[in-house]
Amino acid sequence: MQDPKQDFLESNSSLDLGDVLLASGKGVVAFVVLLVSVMLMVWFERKVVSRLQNRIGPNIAGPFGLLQTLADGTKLFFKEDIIPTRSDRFVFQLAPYLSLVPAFLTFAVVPIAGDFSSGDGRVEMFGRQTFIQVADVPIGILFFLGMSSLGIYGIMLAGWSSGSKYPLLGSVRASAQAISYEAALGLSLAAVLLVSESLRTTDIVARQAGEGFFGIVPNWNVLVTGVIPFVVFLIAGTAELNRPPFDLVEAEQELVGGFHTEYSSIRFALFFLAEFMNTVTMGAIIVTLFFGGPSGPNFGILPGWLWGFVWFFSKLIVLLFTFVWFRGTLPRLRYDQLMNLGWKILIPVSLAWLLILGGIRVAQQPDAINLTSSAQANTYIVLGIAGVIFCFCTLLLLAAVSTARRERLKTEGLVAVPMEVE
Amino acid sequence: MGYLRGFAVTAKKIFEGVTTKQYEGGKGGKTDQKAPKPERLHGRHVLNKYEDGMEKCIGCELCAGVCPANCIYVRGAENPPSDPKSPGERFGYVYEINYLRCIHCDMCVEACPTEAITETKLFEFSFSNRSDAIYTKDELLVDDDGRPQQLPWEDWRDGEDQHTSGWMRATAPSGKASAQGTVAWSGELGYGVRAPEAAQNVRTPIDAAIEAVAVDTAKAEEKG
Amino acid sequence: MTTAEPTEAVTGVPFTLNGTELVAEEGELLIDACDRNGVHIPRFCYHNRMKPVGMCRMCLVEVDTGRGKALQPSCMLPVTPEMKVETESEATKKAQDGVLELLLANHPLDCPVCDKGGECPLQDNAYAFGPGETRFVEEKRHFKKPIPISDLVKLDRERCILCDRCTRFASDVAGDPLIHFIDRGSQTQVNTFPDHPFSSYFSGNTVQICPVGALTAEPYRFKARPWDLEAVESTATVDSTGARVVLQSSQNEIVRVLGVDSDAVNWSWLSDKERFSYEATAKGDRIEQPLVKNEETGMLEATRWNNAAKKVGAALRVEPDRIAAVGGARMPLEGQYAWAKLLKGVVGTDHVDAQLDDGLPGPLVLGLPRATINDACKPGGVVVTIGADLKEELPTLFLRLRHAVVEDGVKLIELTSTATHLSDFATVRFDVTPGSVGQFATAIAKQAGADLDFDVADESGLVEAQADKVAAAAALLDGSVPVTIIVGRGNLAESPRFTSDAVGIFRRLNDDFQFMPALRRGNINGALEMGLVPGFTPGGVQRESAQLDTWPDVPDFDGMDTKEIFRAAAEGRIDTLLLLAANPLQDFLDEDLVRRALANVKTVIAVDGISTETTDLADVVLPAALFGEVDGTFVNLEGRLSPLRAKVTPPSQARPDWMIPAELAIVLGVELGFTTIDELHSELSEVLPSFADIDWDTLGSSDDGPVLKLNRSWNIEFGKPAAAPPATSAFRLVATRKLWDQGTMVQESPSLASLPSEAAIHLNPDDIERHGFVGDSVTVRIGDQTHTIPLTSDVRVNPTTASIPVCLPGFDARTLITGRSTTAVEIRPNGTT
Repeated sequence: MQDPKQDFLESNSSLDLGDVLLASGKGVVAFVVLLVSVMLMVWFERKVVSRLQNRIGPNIAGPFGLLQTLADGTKLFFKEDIIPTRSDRFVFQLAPYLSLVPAFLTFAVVPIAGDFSSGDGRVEMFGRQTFIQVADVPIGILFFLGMSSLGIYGIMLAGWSSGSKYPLLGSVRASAQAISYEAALGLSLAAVLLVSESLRTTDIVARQAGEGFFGIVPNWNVLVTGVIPFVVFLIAGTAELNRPPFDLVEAEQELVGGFHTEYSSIRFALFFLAEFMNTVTMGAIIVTLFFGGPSGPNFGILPGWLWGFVWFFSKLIVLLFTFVWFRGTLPRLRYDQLMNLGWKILIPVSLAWLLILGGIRVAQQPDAINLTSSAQANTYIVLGIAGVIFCFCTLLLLAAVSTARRERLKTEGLVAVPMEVE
Repeated sequence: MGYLRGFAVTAKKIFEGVTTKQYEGGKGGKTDQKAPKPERLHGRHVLNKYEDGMEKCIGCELCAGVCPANCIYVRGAENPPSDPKSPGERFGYVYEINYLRCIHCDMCVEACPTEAITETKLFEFSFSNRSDAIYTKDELLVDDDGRPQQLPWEDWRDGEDQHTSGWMRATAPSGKASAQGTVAWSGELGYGVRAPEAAQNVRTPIDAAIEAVAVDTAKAEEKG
Repeated sequence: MTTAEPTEAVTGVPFTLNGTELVAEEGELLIDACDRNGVHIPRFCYHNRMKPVGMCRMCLVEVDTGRGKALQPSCMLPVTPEMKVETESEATKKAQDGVLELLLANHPLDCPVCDKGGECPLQDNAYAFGPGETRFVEEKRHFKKPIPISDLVKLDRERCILCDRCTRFASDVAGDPLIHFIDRGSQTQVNTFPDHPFSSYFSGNTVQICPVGALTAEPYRFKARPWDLEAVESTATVDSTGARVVLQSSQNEIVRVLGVDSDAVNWSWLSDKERFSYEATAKGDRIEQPLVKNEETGMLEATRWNNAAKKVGAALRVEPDRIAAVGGARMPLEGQYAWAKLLKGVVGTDHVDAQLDDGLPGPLVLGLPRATINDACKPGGVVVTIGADLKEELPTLFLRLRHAVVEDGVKLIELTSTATHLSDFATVRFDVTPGSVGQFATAIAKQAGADLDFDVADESGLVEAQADKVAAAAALLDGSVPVTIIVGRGNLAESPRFTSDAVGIFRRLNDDFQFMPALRRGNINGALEMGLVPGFTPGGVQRESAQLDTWPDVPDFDGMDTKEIFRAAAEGRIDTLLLLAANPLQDFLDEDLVRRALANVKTVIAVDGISTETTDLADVVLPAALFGEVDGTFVNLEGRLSPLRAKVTPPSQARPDWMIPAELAIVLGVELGFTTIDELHSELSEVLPSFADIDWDTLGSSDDGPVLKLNRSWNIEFGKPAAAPPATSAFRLVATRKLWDQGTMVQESPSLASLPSEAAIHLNPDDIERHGFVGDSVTVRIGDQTHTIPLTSDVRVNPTTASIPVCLPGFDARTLITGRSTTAVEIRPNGTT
């Protein structure tokens, strides 16, 4: 592990034109790649959902309907741009960009390629050592969390500034949903960070590039942290993205169009774009955090860094397919069920798991707990104590829930007693 | 974990193939298919003729009177003695149906006393302006063989223009079942006389044929 | 047995209907009594304006008059006291079911092709009261169908249910027994006599009253279905009876006109002209754009309204004395008022006359105390007719009068130029020769005790010869019963002063005698009332004493009537001539004078809806909307106001008549003071006392309508009547009119255009024999002109007179009219001079 400060100073002791060009070039490439990937993601989703529903899906615009998104975007572009009279014009016009920009920015910290099997993923570009990601900041994951939180502002302000009640309701729900699942997201993320000991995405990836259990299975965080953080992160991530089954925010049956009801033409297209961009990014982040990112074996023929891309891409595809699978299979969660899931299930679970993991970690440190001499035994003791505490807490929780339920039924029962008949 | 079974269901669907038909309005190639239409589909109307070529329409305006969408405009006129268009005193001089208003309830078919107006299974209404949408008598009248006329935007496949002439209700208006199955009007001009319709709860060979076609199509889709 | 004396006399007849005790009127038929109490008894042959016959048996109800229950036809049964009627009993229902089943047995399945389908009493009754299915499986009886029984009516004998309504109407109401039942049993059919088509003037009414589609009208045949029709009630403007009609239209075109039962006016009857001349509105040669004559080419070219109005405005800026207007009797009341205000109030000319010298003098008509038709037809009264055969000129009035004379015991005294269709029922019928009516009137009045200080010499001996008739008439006119005198212009070849004289005499005989002007043109009474008469302003007020606050001015000279206007125009003393819906080339008696007049006037402005030969000669033509296209008001010969309602839109640029003078006034820099028809009505109510109480909004709510109170405060001085001209060897000409003529409304209606017959001269058979006329034409000599004219023997023509109708195809009878007080012609057998 390098000293971040040192690293920074060393590599950036003298900024010259090449550096600037390189940085901007990477930015442009990432921009383009993201846009194209969004287009393909939309196509992918529509096609996969169609096949899940025994349909053909778009197949007219371009070969296999690949240009359908382009056609839709063009159509949207030419629609009439309506700004409601009662809307707050500035905020109304700003909101889509508030949603879109963080989506772009988040992708900056995701490593797309690189040979992590032999090396730390660095490549030589134009004479400089750099990673195949836009920016390799030491606070990578924090940056991601920050940006995803900023994205919520876009949705919230969009609904509020529309000057109409359904968008307002939609945005209020959206922001409440987002902050509820933010906590679960962060806690399961913390589990990963506990294992990775670094916020830097390249470090996280590098750590997973090695041999893990039984020599065959790679050292992926999904297994290292136990599967639970991955599951929680997946669910919380789906909720953060406002994707089905958590898409109550834009549910047409209840809220017309939710926060984007009053948006038309290019502004609507931007929201649409932002949503799918977030999806791609979230998928990339999950791949980075839990599945080792671009790391994977190098089988020759292609250069090493390209293998990284191949592995990254395949893992991303699988994850995106999972998202689409969720869409095609699960019915929408009702709002109270959604809140229930977020607060009462995911947060306690992820918190408890974090604590257990932390406990195990501490137990595995040589000098931390001196219960027994072997680290392993220490681990089991900690696990045991954790288990007891966990069961106790669970019982407490169940007791509380059932009592509350009984109380509620009693009050309802009182109300349901018929009036006296004279 | 019962909902994981749901995932299994959707995953299986990917391998089941598609049931949608790739219909491209006749402009596609081999893949351009049309689903088989039910026997009594309410499509476009035609004005029928008798076997001797006389028009059946007598211009009585009953179809226009019963139409709930007010889409039929009829004017009758006296049959010119030298060139009578229909048997009797009166024929339909002006006959127009506005297909932008038509809801295909076929109450006009029920109301017609001479079975002059009946429906076909042609359903392509792809006109692009309002005046094309008003089908005049020339477009609605069957030709001398009794076949409907093909409009420029209609995509015909084999056998679609069949079964244009009158259908008989299975029961008479009085409700007496003894009237069931009796052919009372002239046959299917151009295609011979069609058997009278059976009662609605009876499975006929035609129903079986339609189902067979549907099954065949599905099988072909799976293979191809 | 003591019974309490009733405190008031029981005026009705008590009876029991379906268990409820009710009271019927005296002599009321059971079917009417039930109708009045909300119980509808189905019927086919009963019509409330004809005597019942009980032919169809549909109105059978179970009646117990005290001898037990029996099925009786309720239309034949006057209500008797303590009658018990059951209209819903089993027997009644069985009877209704049976009657309908039998009627439908031979009735063809024609409903889809039958005009009556959708409004057919047979359909409705079969649906409501009849069997659901037929048991008649045999072959029905067949007739060749349909057969045209006249040019306007077609008969389908298979559909006829033998209700006798048409035959009863034709013989009892119209007096033309041209259709009747022939053959027997199941082959009974209605038919005409061979070679005698049903060419009655009232044939259209049989189509309206026929309960099935047996009789259909040719102009309406197959045109539309009842559910296509939109309807509005209006008034017929064809003649001055003002019969109430309902206009029915489909696709913005009037397709049918039906008569409305107005108790005061027409009793649901219409003449065929009133019924079928709506076709002129739709199919006539309409003027759609304002036309202005191009100076160079001399052709009329379409232009915009403001261009035409500017031209007219320029023409109206000359001296008022050099502006004249003729016509206006075809317009609604509002148009007439607006034109009167423009011409008399704004322009200041008094040369305005709505009559084309073929009526009676305006001052005479305006000063007559008016009778209503109901007054004239009151049972037991007396009616005197001076003028023409009402059947040709005012057919609907003729029907009312005929009913009164034949059924209600009204006594008729005829002083008409020829015998009429009422002569057979007249109590006294005078053989009046042209010019002698004044003399007859004097003789009658003197014998009836009038205070007359003069004598009229009976040089011709006419009055002497009919002294017994004079005595009989005088006895009837003693004032013990109400007397109505219907006065019209019977002879166009005779000066109207003889008729005026007669009127004057009768007025001097008794102040209570009421009059009815039998002037022919549509809204002529409205025109006279609105001041389209020289010397008068609206309200029948003489020009000198006019007090119209809303008018800018009143003319300061007395104007000329139509004949003088044309004479002045021919001499070049008129610069601007307005022809308001008038066709003088066709209608004025001196065609030559009109041509000279039109040629010598600087600007001829024609305001009309239909293109005629007169409009072709005009310099500016302004298009007006016609019957069925405008809202307005109509004044009939009683002075009754009835509404005119618009049902279809006028073509292109045609405007309602009242808007045109309003527009022209603006061009002249003056506001006429009204921009909507409601404002015009308010002004009428404000300015004219006779209109003060009229509620314009509810004008059409009843079928009768308010009658203007037309009490004039001035009287005409009637002097000594002129003597009748002495008898000569020549024939005195009687120029009459026929219903079907070359008039615009008839000619522009395709169904009616071919109905006028060729002009012929009618002579009494005795005269023909005496003079030895043979063959079918004669030579007529007038002045130094000779004409060969077809000859018809007509028993109705008075001896020594020759009657010829004007305005018919063929010979133009106007060439025989000289304009002298009476016209004498010499008639020789054909081939001689």
